[in-house]
Amino acid sequence: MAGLATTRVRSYTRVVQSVPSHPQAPEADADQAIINRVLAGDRDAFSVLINRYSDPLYRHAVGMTGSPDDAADILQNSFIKAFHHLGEVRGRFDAWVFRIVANGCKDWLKNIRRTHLSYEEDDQPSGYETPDEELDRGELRGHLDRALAALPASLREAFVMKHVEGRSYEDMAVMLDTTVGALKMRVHRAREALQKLLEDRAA
Amino acid sequence: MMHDNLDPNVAGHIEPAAERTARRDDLEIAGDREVPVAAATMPEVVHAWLDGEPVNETALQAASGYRLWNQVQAETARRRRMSTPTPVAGAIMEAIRKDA
Repeated sequence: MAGLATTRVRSYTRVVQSVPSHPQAPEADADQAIINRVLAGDRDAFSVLINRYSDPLYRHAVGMTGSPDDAADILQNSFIKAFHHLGEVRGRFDAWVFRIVANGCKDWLKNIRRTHLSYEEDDQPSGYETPDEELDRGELRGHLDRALAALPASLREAFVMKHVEGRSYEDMAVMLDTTVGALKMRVHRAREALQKLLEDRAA
Repeated sequence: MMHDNLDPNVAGHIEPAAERTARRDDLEIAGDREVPVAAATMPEVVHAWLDGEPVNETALQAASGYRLWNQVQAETARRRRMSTPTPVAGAIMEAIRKDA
């Protein structure tokens, strides 16, 4: 993908004041209207869907891969694939495109020989009071990345959706086409495993 | 069928302990290595708090693992503010237009 090299952004985060948004019914209707415009030939209208959904999908991909660059690649490939199959959307667009990104992440995990976890620091004020707390924060970030990378993909996916993307169990159930109970179980198991890994590293 | 034995410890070469430790540390950040899922040890009150359910504050603060999860929550909240690198949307649209 020739375009990717030029689009890669090295910084791990560009922190903005935004929160994940989950579409309600009117937004889903609005998505369908955009899709109809794109299918009628207005390709530029697709950018509305990208802008509406790319942030939570990017967070998912970063959480799953641990690599901002690979996450950007997966996101780009997924949206291009979504564009080419837009006529196949049934139901919520955001759930449909999420599944494309999630599958892209799982393919990446299957193929990756080594996860590179070297995050670059963002340049935002940390908000931590003392150097010790700042150190704790840096250590925790590294430990959390390594612990997440050690989780089975299904547990990592559930944890990232719940805690990094901030989704409700109900929303996750729609996205992953499973039950709230099953997802609660996955998230709880992920937490148990993460706590064990984090405590072992801290010991 | 013959297989090469690539394990340096078996193939007549004893790896120094320091190297072995370093190599093990290195491997720990490898790919999607699956780990056995730990038996449940987290107090239910911590799970409930993390799930956004109402909890008894005193019981929560006394629960084991609370401090750790408080820190993890702060880190995940920071990650929740991540946004897509600006050039990505433009690159997607450029690729789509090229396909036209």
